[in-house]
Amino acid sequence: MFMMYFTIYIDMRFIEVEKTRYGWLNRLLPGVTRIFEDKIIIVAKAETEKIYLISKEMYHIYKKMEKHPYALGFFFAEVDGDNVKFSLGTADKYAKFKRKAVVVNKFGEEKFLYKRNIMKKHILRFTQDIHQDDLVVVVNKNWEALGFGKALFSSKEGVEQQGALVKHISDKGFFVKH
Amino acid sequence: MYDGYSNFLVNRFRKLFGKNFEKVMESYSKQPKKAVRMNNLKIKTNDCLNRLKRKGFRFSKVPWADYVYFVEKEPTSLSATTEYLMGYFFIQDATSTLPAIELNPHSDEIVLDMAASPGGKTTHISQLMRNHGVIVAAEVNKERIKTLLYNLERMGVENVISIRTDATKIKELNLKFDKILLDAPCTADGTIGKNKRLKKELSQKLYDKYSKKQKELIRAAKEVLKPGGILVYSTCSTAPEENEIIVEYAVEKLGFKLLTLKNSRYFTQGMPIFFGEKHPNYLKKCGRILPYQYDTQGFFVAKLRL
Ligand SMILES: C[S@@+](CC[C@H](N)C(=O)[O-])C[C@H]1O[C@@H](n2cnc3c(N)ncnc32)[C@H](O)[C@@H]1O
Repeated sequence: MFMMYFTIYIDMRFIEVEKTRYGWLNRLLPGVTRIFEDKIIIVAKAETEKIYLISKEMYHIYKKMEKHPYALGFFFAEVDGDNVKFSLGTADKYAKFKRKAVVVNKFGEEKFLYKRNIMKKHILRFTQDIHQDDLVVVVNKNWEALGFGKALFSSKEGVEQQGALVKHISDKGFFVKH
Repeated sequence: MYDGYSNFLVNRFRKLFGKNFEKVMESYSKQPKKAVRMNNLKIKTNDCLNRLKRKGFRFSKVPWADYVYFVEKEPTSLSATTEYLMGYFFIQDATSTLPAIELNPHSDEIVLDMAASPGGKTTHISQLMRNHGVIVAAEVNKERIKTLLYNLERMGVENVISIRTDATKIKELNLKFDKILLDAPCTADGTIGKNKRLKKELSQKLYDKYSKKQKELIRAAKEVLKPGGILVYSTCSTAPEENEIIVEYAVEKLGFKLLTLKNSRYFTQGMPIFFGEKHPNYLKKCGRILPYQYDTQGFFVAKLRL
């Protein structure tokens, strides 16, 4: 494996890694590594690992650069041991795959963007591949990603139960503050 | 009479703007018009406009681009709309869209944005490059660079390498660029309409301080620009110390050639004479937007070739 170290920040190094190393992410979100496509993976390692995807032309420049970047290309996810936080950009891309998705109405969208859980009355439909405790992408009726949540139902059994059906994890409401 | 202004600034503006002085002061008494740049990386201009129109927003096109619109009616906060969160548009002063248009970056180029946060122009450059090629975005401020990253993520920009650095040391990267945008840190005296505190705070010392920094930055830009490369210099200031003086320095001392702006017809010509001093006539090729021209902030753009 080709390795590259930037020594300016002692606590942060940028490393090129092989795509297969993150194959396990597909267990959390089936097919998510399709996003890697023709990209090169660069990982910024400190206490956590930040995964970035870059094009070949960016890689060429990045290799020539004699200073560590702050961030680069497409921010894919942050990995902290077993804990993975997929980025909101990844939510956008994953929503296009139409897998592990819960579609919510306008009311649900507003609630979710205020960090609230999704209830039965918010759900318009969902994909048929959801199991209890799965990571799901929450989308609005136009299939625009709002963020990620954790399913508290399975598509086989449907959404008859009361209370929260998708627990909020991350959402784009965060962008308003910036 | 001129509420909140220091005598220094009133006298200065009177000398600088001459017969346009009253019009400038009148503009600065109002908030500049808000504008949005549609993000064609994610959505077609009309699709976004139609969605927002259905929510009661009203727009009018700016004269120089068909994807930049003034906001004429804003029934709720634009930044709280789904379209904003999806990164379908960027809210910025209309004049701030001019530098990237003048830079005219291509998909196969390597571009440097020397003072990038919060990324209004970086994301615009990326849009013009269709998310291809490479943009190196430099920003020195630790907090502001985070905002840059949020905006890149929101707008779906993927061709940026951001670095936290003092751009006067950009040479240390050991890269050469086809094009450079230097949207320089400045007094921002063109933004008095929304930053009222500037009426009191601006001083000759401050103009001179920024002028010195801007010279350092443009000198650093020269060192990393490929021969024949293009540099666009811009500020949200109308001060000659921060604009014409810097361009004159770039031409006389650094060997740049000043080019005619593609959108020159929308600008007020640069000033070869100011504060009673004569400077080279070529400075007319620079462009200044006076705040009353389009009810925006005051702005300045120059395009140079090495
Ligand atoms: C006029 S603002 C840039 C606005 C930005 N181009 C945009 O369109 O969103 C100037 C920026 O330059 C940064 N800055 C100031 N001095 C700098 C330096 N020496 N090197 C890099 N960035 C600097 C400031 O922190 C500020 O974010």
